[in-house]
Amino acid sequence: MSLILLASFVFLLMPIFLLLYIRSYNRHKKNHVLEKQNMQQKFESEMLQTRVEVQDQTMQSIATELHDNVGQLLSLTTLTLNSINLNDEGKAKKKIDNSLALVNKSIKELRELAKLLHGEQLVENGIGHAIDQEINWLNKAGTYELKINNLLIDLQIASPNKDLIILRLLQEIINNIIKHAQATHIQLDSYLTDNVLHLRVVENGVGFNPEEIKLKKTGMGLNSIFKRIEMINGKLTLNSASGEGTSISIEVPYP
Amino acid sequence: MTGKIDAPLDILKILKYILPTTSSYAELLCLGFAIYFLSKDKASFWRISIWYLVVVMVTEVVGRYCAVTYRTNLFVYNIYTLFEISYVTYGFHTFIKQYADIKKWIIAIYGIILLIYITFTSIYGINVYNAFTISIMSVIFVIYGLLYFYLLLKDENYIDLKFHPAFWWVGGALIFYFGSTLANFFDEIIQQKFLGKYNTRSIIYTTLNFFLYGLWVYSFICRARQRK
Repeated sequence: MSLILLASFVFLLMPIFLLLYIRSYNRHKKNHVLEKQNMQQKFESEMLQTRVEVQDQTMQSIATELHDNVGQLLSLTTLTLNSINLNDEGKAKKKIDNSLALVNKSIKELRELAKLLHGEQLVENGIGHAIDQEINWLNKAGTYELKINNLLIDLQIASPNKDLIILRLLQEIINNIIKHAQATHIQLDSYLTDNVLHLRVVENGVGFNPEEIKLKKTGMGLNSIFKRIEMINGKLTLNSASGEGTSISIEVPYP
Repeated sequence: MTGKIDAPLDILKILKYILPTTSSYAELLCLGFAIYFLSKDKASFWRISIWYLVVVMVTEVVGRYCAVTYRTNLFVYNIYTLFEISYVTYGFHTFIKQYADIKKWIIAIYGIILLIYITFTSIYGINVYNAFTISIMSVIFVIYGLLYFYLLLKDENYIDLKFHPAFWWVGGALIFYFGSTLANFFDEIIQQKFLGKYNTRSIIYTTLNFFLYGLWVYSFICRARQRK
């Protein structure tokens, strides 16, 4: 008889322990959810910080361009106009023509600067379109022989946050090429396979030693590129050596 | 739900049948709490809970009355079983449907239990305790309870179980039906066995009732708190 009582007691204890187990499991679930929320918040704040940094850098580039380029052009224009002697018509005409050319060049430079500011609008039409705009701009400069294979144009999916960072990365890479590489040939491939976006830029410039540049930690350049690619869980492979050009491959989980 | 008095007529018991017995104190308290905490509730399940507990109390009183008047009250508890099957099935359906759509299954199983009940009653009559149906019902309810907990654990959203009425309602039901499994299977034996002066069956059921109605009262409190 006491056996049945004992067995019933055990049968009573089992669901009680089950309830206790569920409660303790639920507590773990709570910690997990909190951790996830924290990570999400951290990610969002880092993303925001990166956006701010990217914006800041764009502003700096604009300031530098305004000061070094447009500023100089307009100063030169002022100097030229000031030096015009109206009595010497021949020279005056030449100087006015020169000034006009300088002003036109300034306008062109200002337009390019405006495009930099438009980054966010550019990516609204998709990353493929934004890359295309960049290439068009580079093409118009006419300095480089370009070989382009941009398969992202008709991309149906988008990831606005990642798009802007990828675009700024590309702009940074192109800026570095223009400033430092002395390249004559640029090749750009972009495509999407298995939810991974690939972007590859190869040029035949002077090249550099990546390790050396990394150690120097100068400027925004390479370090900020690596930091940003980390932000979007991407991977960047850089191959370069003195005199042998540079190739940069980016892989980003997408969207 | 608890008493199964099949004793000879005793005149003193006539006076006692209105007063609650040890095991029905829990039910009476539960009804009181249900009226206090759930009478303003808009959800049909919680409102039905009050009426179900009224049925439980009426069953206890009528059960005792019939025991002393007709010498048997088994038919009262057999009729009550129908209410029990319906209410608890509805409760599990209400809580499980938040995680999975198994309405058709629940209705089908409910139909099968009723069929077993009717078959048993038509063979043995209403005056034989329907232990078979109650055993089947208990096993089904245990499965529902475990299913609910499984779905609760699997669900990705976090819920604070401390104040989650469904969790405590299902917990109470699971403890009661799981704990009473042995008592159901060995119903014939334990009715006649005594531990000291106490009937084994009433020891088991009083303990289980304590857990069932205790946890249900707590779930009613949680529900009132949730409503705020």
